[in-house]
Amino acid sequence: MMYRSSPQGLVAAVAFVVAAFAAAPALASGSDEVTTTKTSDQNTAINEHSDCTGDDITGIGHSNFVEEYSTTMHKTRLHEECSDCMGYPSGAQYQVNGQSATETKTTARNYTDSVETRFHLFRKQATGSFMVPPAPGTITQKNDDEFYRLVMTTVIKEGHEPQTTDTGPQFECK
Amino acid sequence: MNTHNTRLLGLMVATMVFASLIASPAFAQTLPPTTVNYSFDVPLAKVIPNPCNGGFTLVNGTAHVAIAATTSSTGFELAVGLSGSGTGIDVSATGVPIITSLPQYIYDSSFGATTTFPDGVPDYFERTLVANDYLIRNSTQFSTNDSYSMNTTFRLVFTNGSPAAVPVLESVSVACD
Repeated sequence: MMYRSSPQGLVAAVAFVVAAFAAAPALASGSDEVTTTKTSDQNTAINEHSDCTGDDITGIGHSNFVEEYSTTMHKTRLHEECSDCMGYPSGAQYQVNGQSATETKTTARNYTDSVETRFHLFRKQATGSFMVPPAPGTITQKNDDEFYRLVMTTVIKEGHEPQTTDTGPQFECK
Repeated sequence: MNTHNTRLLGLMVATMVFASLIASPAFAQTLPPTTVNYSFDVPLAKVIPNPCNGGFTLVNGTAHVAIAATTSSTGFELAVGLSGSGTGIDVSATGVPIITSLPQYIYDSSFGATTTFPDGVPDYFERTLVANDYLIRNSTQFSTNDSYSMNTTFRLVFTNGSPAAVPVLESVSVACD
């Protein structure tokens, strides 16, 4: 699967996808290498069941993926966000706001790199406050955080553009 | 030709046959994969800003980096495993502990990355590996609403398939969820 062209799991239900894609070659500073930058923005419908809380989570997730590469270097930066995801039947608000980055430099011209990354999924009350607001002078909010992991795989092949895909997510309860 | 020369000639022929055999692709494909393991413990002791309450946290932990370098007939593979755990206490900007009623922070995670090189061992390979940790107060009964994310970036350098140095802790970034 090309990156985010057919996402799975939390970002699986592709009911609404808006993608913007741009490539901008530039000369790497201090060398003769040409660096290419690609950016991908996507809004993805989320329709996922949480085994941690029992909620069905729906909403629109947003991901921003930036990829830079030259003949010797490859960098990625992934930002995942969902600020208005809702859980049913609890009515809780779920949020994701995470970023991960990778970088490789090598003399090899052909290689495949798979790297694991983790995002924190947490829930709040629909109003934006925490699920169980602490009473004055006390601390009462429960810990029911969860995470999901993605494995991002990039195939580097001489003479071709890098191909980055992701698999997952895999959920883990706190 | 005497017996000694005959034996010598036989030995030479056998050596040539063996040399040509091990150089053949068929023989190479039968070689079992060989793996060399490396491991490093990278300490983390750092005062970081607490993005949720405006204070500071002294993080104390260890990142265990396990590397497996495998050579086989299909190429070369580098598998890196990173497992980290630690604690955090409330401190001043200079690292002096602050007495609070709050429990200390804890974190615990593991990540991995695998790189395969079909053309064999690269002369040079460098990679980053990020641990996406979450610092949460050590309590099963309540939350203090000041848990936060900590991304720790390590850089690893390999020359000719072997670690060139101990993995380097490159940066630590935090964010309040």
